[in-house]
Amino acid sequence: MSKKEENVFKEKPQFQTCYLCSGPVSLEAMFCCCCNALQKPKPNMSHYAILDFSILLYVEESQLEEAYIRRLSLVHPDKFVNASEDEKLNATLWSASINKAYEVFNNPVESLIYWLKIKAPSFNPQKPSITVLEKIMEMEEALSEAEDKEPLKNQLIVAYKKALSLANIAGNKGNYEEGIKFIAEAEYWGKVGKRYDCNFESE
Amino acid sequence: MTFLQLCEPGQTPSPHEEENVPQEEGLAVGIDLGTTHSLIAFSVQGRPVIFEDNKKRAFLPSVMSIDEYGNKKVGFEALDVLSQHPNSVIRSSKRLMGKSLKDIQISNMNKMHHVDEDNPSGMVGLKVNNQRITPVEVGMNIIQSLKMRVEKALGASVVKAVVTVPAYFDDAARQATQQAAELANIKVLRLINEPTAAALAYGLDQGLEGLYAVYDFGGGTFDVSLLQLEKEVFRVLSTGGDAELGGDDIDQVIADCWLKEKAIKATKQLYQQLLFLAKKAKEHLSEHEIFKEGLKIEGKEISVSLTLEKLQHLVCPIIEQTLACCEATLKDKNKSVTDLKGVILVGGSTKMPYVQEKVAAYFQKKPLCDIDPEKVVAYGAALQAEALSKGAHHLLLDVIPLSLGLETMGGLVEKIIDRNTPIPVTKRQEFTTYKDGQSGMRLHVVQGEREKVKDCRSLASFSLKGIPNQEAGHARIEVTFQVDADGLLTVRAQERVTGINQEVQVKATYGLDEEDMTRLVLEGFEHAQEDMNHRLLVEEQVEAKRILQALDKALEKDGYLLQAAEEKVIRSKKEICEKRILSTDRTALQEAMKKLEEVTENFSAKRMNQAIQQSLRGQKI
Repeated sequence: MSKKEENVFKEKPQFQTCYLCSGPVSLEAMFCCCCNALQKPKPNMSHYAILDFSILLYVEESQLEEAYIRRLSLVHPDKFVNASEDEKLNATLWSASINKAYEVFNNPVESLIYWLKIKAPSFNPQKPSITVLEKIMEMEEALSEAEDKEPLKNQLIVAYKKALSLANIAGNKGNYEEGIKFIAEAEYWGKVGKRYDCNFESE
Repeated sequence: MTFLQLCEPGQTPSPHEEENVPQEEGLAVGIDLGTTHSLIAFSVQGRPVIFEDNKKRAFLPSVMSIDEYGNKKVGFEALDVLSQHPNSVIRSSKRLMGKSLKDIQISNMNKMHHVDEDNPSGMVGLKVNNQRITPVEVGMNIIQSLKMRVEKALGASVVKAVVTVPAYFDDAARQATQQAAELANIKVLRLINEPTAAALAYGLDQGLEGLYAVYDFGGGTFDVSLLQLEKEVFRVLSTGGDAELGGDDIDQVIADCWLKEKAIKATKQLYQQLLFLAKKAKEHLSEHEIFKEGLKIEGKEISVSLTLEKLQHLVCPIIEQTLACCEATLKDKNKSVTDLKGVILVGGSTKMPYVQEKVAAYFQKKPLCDIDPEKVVAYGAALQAEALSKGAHHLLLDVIPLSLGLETMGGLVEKIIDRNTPIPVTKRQEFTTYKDGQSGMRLHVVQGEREKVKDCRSLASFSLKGIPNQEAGHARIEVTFQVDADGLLTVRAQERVTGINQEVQVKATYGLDEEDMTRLVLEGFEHAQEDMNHRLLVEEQVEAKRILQALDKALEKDGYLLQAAEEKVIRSKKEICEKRILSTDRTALQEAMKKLEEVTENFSAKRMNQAIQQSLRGQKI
């Protein structure tokens, strides 16, 4: 899988004012550089910005874990027990945003959908093609009838992983249309698999 | 030049007595408010100490007595009253936290407690010697008594605390616990979960790293948590529990067994006595093979006995149930016992050798109990209190125990936050109106794993009013659920067009009882398929009703476009649909709706045509 890093388009710096000291604070900063007060997270801030990432097609697990703990240890409400009510609330909001971003990147399908939404703003959630849907429905039927579900579950996991890696390859090539098609397939396999307790993290 | 100060041998003051006692701001302590007994601890530089009373006793029985004059006693003094006047003594009141009278009656707990049956609203009340008292006040008295110990010993006031709660405590019970501490003039720095506190104590003290399970079997609750311990990061992955299964329940099975053996009818007073003996027997059999003791009933002397073998036979089903919980909690995260590096024992009930044996067999490893299982929670709480008030490097990350959701059309639950989601968490969801011109909306917040509202527990209910007059499905109501680091929920609703705001902090008026929590999770698994079918049916019914309403309106307005025969066919098919909506046969309803669609096709075309004509006419000048 590619770990290609995209060049981030840098906008001109924009500022907001600190709610406490009215000093300038850059939009996505956690703390005011003048008075060090924890700012309110900007609404609609991207999950990438929340974790201090550039826009990545593929977020590696170790990278995600490291960023999650690093960012959370800065803003967790436990660090603001003696702070003002404003800062306490901001700490809760930041921590909740970090938890949300972690949840998205920790799920390979959601993570790729999120990336595609940014890369292809016209992204529309799609259904897989009829042929693929038929395959998925056949699998579901077979699973519901089978006594020994394990072999089928393994097949399902393979199909899921194949669709996911094809979506990643397509994304990496800049072929967003195809990426969207394959990620929809992976999503559907994932939903069926979840109903039958498939372990997608297995090797 | 200053002289070195030397103390009398053996009288060297403990470090906390001399230094590090912040005189001005007061002390921050850890409080373990337990079902059977409570502890208070204080930590200095990562070394927690449990405070004892003047007789060197660490555990304060969570017991309170009130005599006919209203004099209150707490702890050992109250326990002394128990044998003479069991009706004056309140025990295990933690199990009543945040519950309503109805909850108590359903779970048959009113036999165990002196419940005030005349006061059905709000949280359950107790009535002892004609004095009314709430479980929150009992908690407050216990906390105050603990607080006195510290204040007497150190001469500094206790102003802040970390208070522990069972991981499976719901919102109402958490609120009630917080309230009890605040009534005792203590600011709650944080409510933390008991198994998490225990893991923190082990993590900081012994530097444990890896995946661990905490098996917390206390007096009134059972919790199991799965934690990833790393250097300075203690992270809960999932949590489960079964609160029907505390040490209290073991005492009850023993007492019930004796009652059956002796064929005697239990008065409240006798039952209390038997429970007391059962507890004694349970503890005695940890070191002996047989327990025997006599007691007096109405002047007659009888003797009760219990062998170790019999005890194991009685307790076995209870332990099996706790292990089933462990299994489910591991499965939630796709883990098995072989993935675990160890299992930590917490709670008084894990002192039974038989419990330890069974746990070791299930987890395939010797469980850890290097730190006293009955004290480890208090140590953890004290360490966290020090960390929060002085600042520390470690990070404690926890999850919510049960899913939170909202009631939608047809009595279904829309889950907003799934259980085992890390906190703090904020989730938003949009809802819309069901009828044209609908001006208000009732939001009903529920907690549980089931699909139907009636199977989950109600936490709070509020109304959003003043929605502007719009067609059905056009209004946009955004509902935000926020759970903070204490695990407490706040719900906000906003109508997006007008910005009308309603906020509700879910309050401890009507709580979810712990037994219910277990039931809800377990039933959620069992009934998943049944729930799914019900959900599909209700959705079909809601959709059908919507279509029929739209058709009614169309017929009223544009019925003249139809010939009499056509209209008759439509009306007859519509009638069939109306009947089938009331049945539970989804396929039959689907078929009827399909037929209705076929016969109305022509009508829709005519209406469409007419609309186009009208709009064209409108454009003519």
